[in-house]
Amino acid sequence: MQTTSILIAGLGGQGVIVAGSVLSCALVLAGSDVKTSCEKGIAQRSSPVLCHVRFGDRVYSPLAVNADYLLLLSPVCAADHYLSPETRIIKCSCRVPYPNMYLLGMLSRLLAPTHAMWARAMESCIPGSFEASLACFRDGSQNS
Amino acid sequence: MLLTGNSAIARGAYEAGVILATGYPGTPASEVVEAAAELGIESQWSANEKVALEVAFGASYGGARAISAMKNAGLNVASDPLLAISYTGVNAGLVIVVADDPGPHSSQNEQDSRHYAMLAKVPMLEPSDSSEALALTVMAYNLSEKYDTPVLLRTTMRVAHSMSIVKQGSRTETKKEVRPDMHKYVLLPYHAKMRHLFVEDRLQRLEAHSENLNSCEFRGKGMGIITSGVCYQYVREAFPEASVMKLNMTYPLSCRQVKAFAAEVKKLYVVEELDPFIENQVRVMGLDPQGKSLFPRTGELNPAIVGSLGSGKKMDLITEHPSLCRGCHYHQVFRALRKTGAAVIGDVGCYTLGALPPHNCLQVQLNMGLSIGCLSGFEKANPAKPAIALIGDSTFIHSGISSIINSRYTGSISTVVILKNGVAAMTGGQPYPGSDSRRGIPQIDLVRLLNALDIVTDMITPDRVEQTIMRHMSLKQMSAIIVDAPCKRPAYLSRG
Repeated sequence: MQTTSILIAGLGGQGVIVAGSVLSCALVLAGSDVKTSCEKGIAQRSSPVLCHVRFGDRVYSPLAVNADYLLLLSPVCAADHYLSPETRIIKCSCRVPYPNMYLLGMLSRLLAPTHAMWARAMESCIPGSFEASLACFRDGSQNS
Repeated sequence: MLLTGNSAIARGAYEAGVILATGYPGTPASEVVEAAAELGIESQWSANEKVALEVAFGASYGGARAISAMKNAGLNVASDPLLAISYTGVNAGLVIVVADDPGPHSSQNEQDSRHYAMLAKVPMLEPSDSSEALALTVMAYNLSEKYDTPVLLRTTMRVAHSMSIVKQGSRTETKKEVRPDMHKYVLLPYHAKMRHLFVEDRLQRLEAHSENLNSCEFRGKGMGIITSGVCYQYVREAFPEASVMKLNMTYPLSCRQVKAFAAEVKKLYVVEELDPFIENQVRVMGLDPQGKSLFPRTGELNPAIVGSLGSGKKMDLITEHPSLCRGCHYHQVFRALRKTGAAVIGDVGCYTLGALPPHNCLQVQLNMGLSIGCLSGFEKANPAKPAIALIGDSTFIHSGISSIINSRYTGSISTVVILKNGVAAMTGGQPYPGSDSRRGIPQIDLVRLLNALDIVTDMITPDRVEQTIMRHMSLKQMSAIIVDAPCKRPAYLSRG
């Protein structure tokens, strides 16, 4: 299986890294080899945050060069360099309680993990109660 | 199980029976110590990296395995004990993790810390992902004890902070007897002379051993690429059909093994970030690989740059301006500093951001603890110019105390402003020794400490910065102002 590259981009505080963790976890549960790389510039001071997630039979580089998908939480210049004309951009201008989970939901329709796997991933990666995140994720997965 | 490289290193230390983890917060190394704590290993944030390594060595000498983790610049601070421990060797295994930062993403420089392996004459391992980070850490302890050497485990941000799948194993408990040996552990010149002979012989034996750790993957013979660390992953991505010599131990190298690889391939390449560290070792063997003639010495590599043999587009770093948190006390401090008109000789911490807009109020920042000494030198050059040193509390404990003693007792009449937010905030809010009263020991009293040096000291709140600085600068004696400005990030002041 060809390796698929996903880039999640946003600002500190928007849950980019949590989204990356949930996505990675779900893909591992679905049996893929997964590598993830998060970059956050000079620590957490309102800086842009990028999370690369790659999955396939055997993944080498953790960087999502020429990303297949971009989950865009906020426009971030640094993301541009990892994109190609073929990159499919997933974003949403609607107001939802957990935009990062909503976008993951939208993406999930194109990926292998089952709903149960996503739920397990959220339970292990989201501190505290994850039900609200799961509900928002579900809404996203039903978005056309 | 998905783990970051740092967590995998901590897991490896745990499985190898390590009982002590020390370090100083520094991106991208910090999580090694934090993950070690979560696994139940006694973990300490040391005053600075030199102390951290010395404490870890103490455990090793005492017969217990220990690990010390630091960022690139941190190894500079710990280099004094590192070079000495190379000579004494160890009792129980000792591993030093150094995390480099090609980019740089969050460092004052882009140094290639691999040179320390050569300078210190110690073996160095470079994992290329989390699975290797775990395995090489466990192996490092066996290597350390078998060859009587500290071992450097070198990562870069892309290994330290990237996650990959890891298989966890079980823990081996281990403890050695304390064995005093004056000729080994007391580095009087005559003993050092003998130990140097041992060190050179050890290097030769490690060279031979490296053949077990480094492997040749033969595929198409047109291209042969020698590589290590995360660059191995980029090479596999960019040139899946090329033959690759994968180095897990990047120093020392086996001349025999490298030459045997080179003989099998038509064109020889070395792919590495930063300095031609591997390339120059290969050149000394009489080979002529293509390395830095193609690939840049600055910034990170990635599969696109590797795949295009150096001409692909470079990924720009995240360049949007970072800024102080919205409600941070330091905004008020900088507005006040601006009004005083004093030149601000700064240091390393969140307050470094005062150099940027909107404050534009900090002139100098180099390494940890520079500010105080630098100010006293500046004062000699410009006795009439109003200037202050600006340093945070954790940085002050790290390396400000020696400096302030130096300033006081070389006759400086400068004013040092210590910003006390209670944590090492920029690196994620870690405590420092004395920052709080954990372990039942009272918080360090900076006012008393400075008074003991006969330095006029005031502890104030941020709203009194302007008038206090104006008053202190008119005093004709060394003085300090401690600004009590607790970090506003709620998670930081309560973390362990």
